[in-house]
Amino acid sequence: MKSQKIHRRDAVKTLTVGSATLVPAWKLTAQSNNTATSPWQPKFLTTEQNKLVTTLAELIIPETNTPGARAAKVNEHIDLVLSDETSEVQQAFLAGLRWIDEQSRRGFNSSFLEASDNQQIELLTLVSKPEPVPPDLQPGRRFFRDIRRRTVFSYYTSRIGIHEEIEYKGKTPLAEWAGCTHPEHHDDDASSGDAE
Amino acid sequence: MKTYDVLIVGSGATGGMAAKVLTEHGLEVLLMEAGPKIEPSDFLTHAKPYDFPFRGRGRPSKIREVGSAAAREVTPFTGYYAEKNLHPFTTPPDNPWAWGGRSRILGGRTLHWGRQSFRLAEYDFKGHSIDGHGSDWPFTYDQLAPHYDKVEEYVGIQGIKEGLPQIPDGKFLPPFKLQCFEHLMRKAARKKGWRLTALRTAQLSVPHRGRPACHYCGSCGVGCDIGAFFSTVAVTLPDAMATGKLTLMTDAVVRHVLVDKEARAKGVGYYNRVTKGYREARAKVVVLAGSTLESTQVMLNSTSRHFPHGLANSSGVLGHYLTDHFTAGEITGFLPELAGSEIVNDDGKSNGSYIPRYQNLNGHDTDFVRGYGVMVKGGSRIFPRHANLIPGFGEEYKRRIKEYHPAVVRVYARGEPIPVYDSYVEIDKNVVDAWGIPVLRINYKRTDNDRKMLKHAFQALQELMHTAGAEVLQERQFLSTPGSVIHEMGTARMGADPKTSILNKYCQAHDVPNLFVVDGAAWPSTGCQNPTQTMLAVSWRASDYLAEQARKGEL
Repeated sequence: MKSQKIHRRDAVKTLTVGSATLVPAWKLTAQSNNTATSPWQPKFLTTEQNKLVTTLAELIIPETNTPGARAAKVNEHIDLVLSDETSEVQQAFLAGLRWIDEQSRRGFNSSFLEASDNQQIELLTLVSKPEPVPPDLQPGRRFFRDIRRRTVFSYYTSRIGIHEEIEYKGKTPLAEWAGCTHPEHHDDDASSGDAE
Repeated sequence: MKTYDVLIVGSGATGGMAAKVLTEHGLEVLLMEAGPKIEPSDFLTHAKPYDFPFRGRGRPSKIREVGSAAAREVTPFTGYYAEKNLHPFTTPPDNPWAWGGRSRILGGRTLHWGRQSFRLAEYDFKGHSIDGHGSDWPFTYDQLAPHYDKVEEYVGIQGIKEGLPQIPDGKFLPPFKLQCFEHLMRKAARKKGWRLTALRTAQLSVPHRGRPACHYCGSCGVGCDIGAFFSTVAVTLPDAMATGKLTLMTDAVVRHVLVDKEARAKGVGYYNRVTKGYREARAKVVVLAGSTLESTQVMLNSTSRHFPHGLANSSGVLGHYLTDHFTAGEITGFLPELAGSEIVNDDGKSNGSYIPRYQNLNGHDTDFVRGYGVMVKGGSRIFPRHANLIPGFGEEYKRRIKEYHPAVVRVYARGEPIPVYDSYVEIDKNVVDAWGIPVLRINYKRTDNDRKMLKHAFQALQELMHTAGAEVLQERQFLSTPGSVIHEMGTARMGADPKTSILNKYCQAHDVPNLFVVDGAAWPSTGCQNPTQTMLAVSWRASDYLAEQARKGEL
């Protein structure tokens, strides 16, 4: 009995007919997102919310000797994921953004985006402390953990995060498996795999 | 309708092995798989997270619909992981079961298994004789040993010979070199009197039987496009096909085994996965190899005048003695000696190290029976999981993530559960799957022995990390959700006594001589080592016996 389903590779071939090089369909989809000519527009966040997310993400993973969250477009990925979440998750995230802004207005008399660098850092330091925190800071702490988790995931799965920051060497065929290249760390027991 | 010599249900590790062995013995075999076809060249082996809109994870709405494993963009194949909406099961509200890694695709879980390959110890076959729990295997280590040899020679398993009775040595390929954290942890383990060895894996360190060696891309979890690790699609299926004796039928969702007037198996009833049309297939012998719970579900759904409580179930133990290895505690930290060192491709070898069981080896030296081994993993992988364990934000936070990246080490214990009658599966008459097949209700019972083992193991993990000089980032003293280790076994166990077991020592049903169950359902007890190599050996041994009986005309 033969399977009637269209084989995935057949589908790939069909989709790539006419393209100059044979690029798998899954790559085409990903690339088309990157090479769109019209400027990127958030799907879920408002322009203001997007600015706040961009700023918070850059505070969490800033540019150093390597690019940070802003350059890695962490905000765009966070927006994309949020756009497909349940309304419960979406509303909790927006409530978190509001909490940060309100806290900033209360403490510094300005929105978070208009607060000084030091004030922004001061507020984030407050909500990033390990437990326990006073009950009135709990919503901020929950939100910080959420946006930090989203930022970390987006940044370290981006081109910048994987290649420039983490200097990842895998996902490509390599000629040899060198094992540990630091002799000072070696266990001198002969059976540890280095001897035949 | 054609009547095959043998019909095999399931194309994972044990079904693929049975297909290879039986066809090479000259039998006409029909191999039935519930999921679709796939070939190694289909895999997106070298894809990186940013190649996908959702970075390989899948869109949230799809995760909600089919589950996080099945939603992954990096493995966009129907059934690579079973979609939870199509394949439901039930549990009591206070007794969860995870059924992790469940697959409905050609090759089953061999497409994404951990590849860890160990022999069981001599004592693992006679646990009941030693401590009175569970039941002994109906054969000894020595009786299985020739098939362990065959599996190693055929599959290709790299490993270090250690001379340890807990994990007997075999015919290994040359071992992969150790990673830095493995050298350091091996030294630390020795100070505690324990032996740490690199995980033995079904992953080729050198070319083997026409298959190329591993090229260290570190993508094993999404499937290996060159067949450098063992899977049905790369190894057993091509060999079975080459005999010209195999008929492969994918998209065949088996509902039940059909029984004739003499209470012998005569074939199976199945649904076409796509059209959902019902059909039947005939064979002189039926081999169930659909994985422990799937095979058991087929048997429980195969009721008849002869077998009102499930096929071959005159003993009443069908579905009982369900076990799954459990994780007992986990500690993540980093080794200061390696902090800030050069980033290397630690994903390449794709697996870590193992401290084999050291408890209760000579008599009884703890307050629990059986024991656990310790898994040691680490190094710079593609995603810095430790980032979520470090407090703070900003420049210092980013710097620490990078600094610890090559230095991360994670240890956890893997324990042996005692098989108990009260851990069991039954048919839930109120719930059916996407094909209308009644599904399992899974009732798993943790034992005090598990909890005592956790206490002991957690202390050992702390001592190991302390001895290695590791800085701890996270300690978790917990027992994993049953089913999450994906080593479910025991629900149609072998045994010498037909009153307390379903199968004889060749995985042949006591009640139905032309029915065999060659997957994990057959296991009377599990040891604490990863099971697949033993499953392959047991399936091969049962298949040799089946072919011999068929030749003699006794089936």
